[in-house]
Amino acid sequence: MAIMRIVVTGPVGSGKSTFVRTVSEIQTVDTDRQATDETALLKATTTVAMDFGRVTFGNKMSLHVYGTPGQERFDFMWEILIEHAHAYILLVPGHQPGAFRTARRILTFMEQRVRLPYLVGVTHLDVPQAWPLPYVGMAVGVHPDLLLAVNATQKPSVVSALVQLIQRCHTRRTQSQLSAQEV
Amino acid sequence: MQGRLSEIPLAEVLKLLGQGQATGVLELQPMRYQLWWQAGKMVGALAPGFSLHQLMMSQGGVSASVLQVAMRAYVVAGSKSPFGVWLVERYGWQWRELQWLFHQQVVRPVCRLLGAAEARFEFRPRQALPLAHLTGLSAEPLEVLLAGLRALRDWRVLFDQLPEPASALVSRYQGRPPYRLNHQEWHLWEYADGETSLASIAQAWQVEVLTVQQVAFRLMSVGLVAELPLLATAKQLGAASASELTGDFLESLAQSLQQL
Repeated sequence: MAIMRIVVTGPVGSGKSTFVRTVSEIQTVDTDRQATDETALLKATTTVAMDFGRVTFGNKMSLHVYGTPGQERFDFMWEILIEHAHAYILLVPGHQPGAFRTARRILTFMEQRVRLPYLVGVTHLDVPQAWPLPYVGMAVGVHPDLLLAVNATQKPSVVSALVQLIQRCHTRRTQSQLSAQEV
Repeated sequence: MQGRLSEIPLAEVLKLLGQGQATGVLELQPMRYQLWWQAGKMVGALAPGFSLHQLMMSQGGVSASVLQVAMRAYVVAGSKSPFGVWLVERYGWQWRELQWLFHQQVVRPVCRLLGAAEARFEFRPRQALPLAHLTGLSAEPLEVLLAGLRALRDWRVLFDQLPEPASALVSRYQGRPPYRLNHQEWHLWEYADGETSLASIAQAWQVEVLTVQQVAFRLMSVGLVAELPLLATAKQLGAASASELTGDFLESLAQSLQQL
């Protein structure tokens, strides 16, 4: 069976666990524990290892979705997740400007470490104090083409984000094949 | 666009408004300070007890009666120009006088506000500019930021926003920087290699790491570098080693997902 692995990353409270749960056909394996540090100010629990969800199509295709740990510590868990990923999506809570810096750090980290297709999904845009999408994009330092609004609680929104990411992988694959042929 | 300066520093907000070519007013509470923007540039400022007119009287040597006459004529003329420009055209004011007033009205207070303690901010776009309180001059936010952060002495409110000592820097700008950098900034710019931590740089320079963090914050604020967290473990990651997926697989997967 061919498996595509997508990593969902982002600051605390960006909706990573919800995103994985919304699309998964199995009960997600989450490792949420009571938050004890400054994270507790934002939410009661946080993911200490990773979230895992899966969508399978027949016996030939499967999509595995992994959520990174909530707290921003770039340790062995990131190593494992990134090393085996095909693409990633960075979620940014549009209503928490205090999280933009963390999102930018994560994006810089990912861009420097791996050359993978990615998208940046802005969540919580329905909250009245949420920032406009283009300003969130600028605050995170991402090209507008890679930016999209995501509602992590709504399956159509999560599926649409995943489909766009897969299409991005496909386009990149085709482009690299074409440049290989030219060489 | 709103928030608290404890969440996102004013330096970052100003950079974003410049980048976004914003037009409107940025208001800071509780000080009721208004900073006016046009096409991504700062054009004026107002606060209770602080306006262009008050600056003209208190520091520009203009008497209240003269100002009153000029203002009445400005209103009667129904001018669509900023008051400052009108003064130049009608009363032969010198641009350098306006430049000095603009510096007092906008540049100096913004530099001071960079170190301001907690305040709420809100940006309201598409507000009509208060032309009677504008000189007609404008300032590039990033240039003001760089000057303001260089002059900043009390960094306590920005402490949580500084890059981590364990992080490195990566360049975000191709070619020669568009700003005149000072010696320390140039030196740090050369260290933006994605490998050397700020703590190591401080050690090499024989200065406190806080000094390097502050210089790094300045370069980050004007978009020349970005902070790169280094991996906590000794091993640095190489290229991803995931198995390659075929084009057919990706197409089928996207189609199947769409049917969910």
